[in-house]
Amino acid sequence: MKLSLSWLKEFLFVKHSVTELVEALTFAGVEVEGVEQRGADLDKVIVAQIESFESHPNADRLSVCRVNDGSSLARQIVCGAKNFRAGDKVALALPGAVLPDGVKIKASKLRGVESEGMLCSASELHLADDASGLLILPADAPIGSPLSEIFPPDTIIEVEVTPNRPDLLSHFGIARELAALLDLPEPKLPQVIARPESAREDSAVVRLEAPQVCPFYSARLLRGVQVGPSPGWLRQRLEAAGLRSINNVVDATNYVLLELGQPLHAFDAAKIRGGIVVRFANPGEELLALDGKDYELGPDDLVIADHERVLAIAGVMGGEGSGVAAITTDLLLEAAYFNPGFIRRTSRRLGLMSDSSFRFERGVDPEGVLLASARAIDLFLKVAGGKVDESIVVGGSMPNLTGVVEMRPERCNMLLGMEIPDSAKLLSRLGLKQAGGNRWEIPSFRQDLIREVDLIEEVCRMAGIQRIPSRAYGSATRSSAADRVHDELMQLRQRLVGLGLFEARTLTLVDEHSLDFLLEPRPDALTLRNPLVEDQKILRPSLVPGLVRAAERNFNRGLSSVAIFEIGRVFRVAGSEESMCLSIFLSGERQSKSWNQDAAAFDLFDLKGMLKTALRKEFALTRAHPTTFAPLVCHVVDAEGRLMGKVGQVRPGLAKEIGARGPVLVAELTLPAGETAQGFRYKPLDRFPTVTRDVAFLADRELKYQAVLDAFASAGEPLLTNIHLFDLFIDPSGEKVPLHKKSMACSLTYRASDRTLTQEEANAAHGRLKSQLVERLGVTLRE
Amino acid sequence: MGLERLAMSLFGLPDIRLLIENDQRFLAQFAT
Repeated sequence: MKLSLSWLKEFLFVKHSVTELVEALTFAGVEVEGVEQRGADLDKVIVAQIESFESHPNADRLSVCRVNDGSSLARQIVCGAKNFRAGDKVALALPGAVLPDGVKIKASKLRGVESEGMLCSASELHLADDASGLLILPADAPIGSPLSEIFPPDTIIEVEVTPNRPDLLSHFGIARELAALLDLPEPKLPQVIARPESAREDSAVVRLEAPQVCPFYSARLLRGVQVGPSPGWLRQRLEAAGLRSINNVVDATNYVLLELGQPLHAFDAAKIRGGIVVRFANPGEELLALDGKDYELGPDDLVIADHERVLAIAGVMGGEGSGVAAITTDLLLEAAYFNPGFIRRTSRRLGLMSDSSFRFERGVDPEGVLLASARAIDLFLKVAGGKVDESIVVGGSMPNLTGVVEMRPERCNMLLGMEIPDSAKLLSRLGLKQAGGNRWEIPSFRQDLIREVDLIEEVCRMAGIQRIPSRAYGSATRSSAADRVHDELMQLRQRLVGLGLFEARTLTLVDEHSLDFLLEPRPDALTLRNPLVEDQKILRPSLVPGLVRAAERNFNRGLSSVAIFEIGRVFRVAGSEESMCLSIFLSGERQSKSWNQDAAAFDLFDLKGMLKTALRKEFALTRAHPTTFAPLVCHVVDAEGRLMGKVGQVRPGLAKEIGARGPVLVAELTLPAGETAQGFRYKPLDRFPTVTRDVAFLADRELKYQAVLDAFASAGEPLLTNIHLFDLFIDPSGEKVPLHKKSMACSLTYRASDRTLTQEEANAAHGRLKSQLVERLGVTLRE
Repeated sequence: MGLERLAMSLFGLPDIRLLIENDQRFLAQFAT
């Protein structure tokens, strides 16, 4: 829609520049498609009359004109155009004028003849594209007056209004929006004089047969009008908005359409037989519309008819036969409200769109209908004369489309992502009225505001969408503790698979009997109240039973070796705890018999080695209470003395029961949740050579190697870097070693991080450790 | 920045040559 800035300024006192207005509209969601300057905003370009002209003495194509510029002296102008006659009024650029393309006019000689200015074409003045000759002005243009009086300067702003905002399809509507956006005083509706004194219902004049589609219709009679061309101001306004001038009556209705957004239609009252009937068309009825085309109508199309025939397609277009023509003297002015959906359907079906249907199908302001009618009558009286009926004939009643919508300010802040403390003020500026608390009464012209979010959008538009701070969204997230735990568990799985184990996944729900397969006394287990099946009624307190069942299945299918692990959650009643566990089940051959090697069965040391490799952590095994499931159970204790889990060897009878052919070893460790290794840092490599010294001793048979390690560690020898048991000897005959004793031999490695150790230093350290061993454990050194 | 320097920064390596020397004691630190 094209908007004339000078027209807008009738409603709006703005000091803002065009750029500022365009920006305000754009930011509020009204797209501005273009801005165009119209008219002649030119200094020193005036209306002049050509009095006479003659050929240029030295040039065939030029004429020398005598021009009346309103002063007493005639001017002499040399001119190249041919399209004028003596007496024509033309545009004269006086010396000193600057044309729109930047040309400066000055007095000069053209081929020896003085020229005191320039006569201009329409294109030179940027008024039109016509460059073929001089712009000939209307005969009534006053000589000497500035050209801008004939072509008043104006700025045309073309806007694209979204379908939800029919209230913006008029100059008043845009002015109202701009006033709200720029916080200007609310624009005043045009003063209307010819308001009817009374409204009466008269079915002989207006009869509504389809009130669901046309709930309200009004007709007002005006007699004795004189149809003719529109005055210049009216023509200019319509042309500025892109409409063609037709005659004073039609132009006046179009003026109101562009001004207030209410489509109106004027019928020639003499051509209406009987009265107006608003009804659906009969099948096969036709109408020759004002666009000169015949339209075949159907029972879905609403029409305005008289008692005999169709006069107009309701809300879309009038008919040729009842339109206002030069001979028309009496008018019937229609102002109505139509159901938007029906108008749209008819318009689409007929492929006929008009300024009228464009607005009706989007929804006009019901409260503006009668105002528009009176406004049009005012204009008729002004431009076409006549005498208006004091009363208006109405049919039906106006639908009440005002609603109340609630908007919670905190919801608004939440949705917009910023605090808008003055949201109530912003809504008031849009014409909404507070109806108690957070409830808002919606004005009739804003039928698009139905939900809370609609009001929030209005607040956003008014506050300025650019005020919402931009924030990075979907940025890279740092790895979390949970990520690191997951990664570590994956690495643990990979290491275990690398050790030749298979990963098993067993069910979380186990049967009652499973509670017998534990490395600890039977705990309280979480039992389902309504288990679906009997063998899935307990939330597993350990992974071991599941692995035992899995191994049993494998053995039953003929496999002799099973080496599987599982990492998963276990559930305990105590502390309502869920913890991540690792369990390993080993049974069968670590290495099968081959041409170059003997068979070797899995033993406890295999399990211990696997745990050490997988967990990458030092630990010690200490004997713990046996269970019926496993007569041999060891606690796995880390360097700080914390219990990590248990390993055990299953009772041989049970092992046989499940099909194992040899010892069955199981381990279960609780994995620390959330406690993960620090980021890996490089540890400097040792640069200096090591010195190795051995120590051999006789100890009691029962002495554990761990006690030996502890004894060495207790010395706190800084140079000691490694201990390795390289020999263990027991003599059953008691000849070389007494029966209750064993011989052990350890290799000790010494190193200093900052120098090469001397023999003396190493020997001294070794001596200290040897005496520590004797002192702590009472062993006998074998030198 | 090359991958080597990224690794040096990440693992705290004092010398870029550690990455090409293939010292088993060094490699062992990266074994998973």
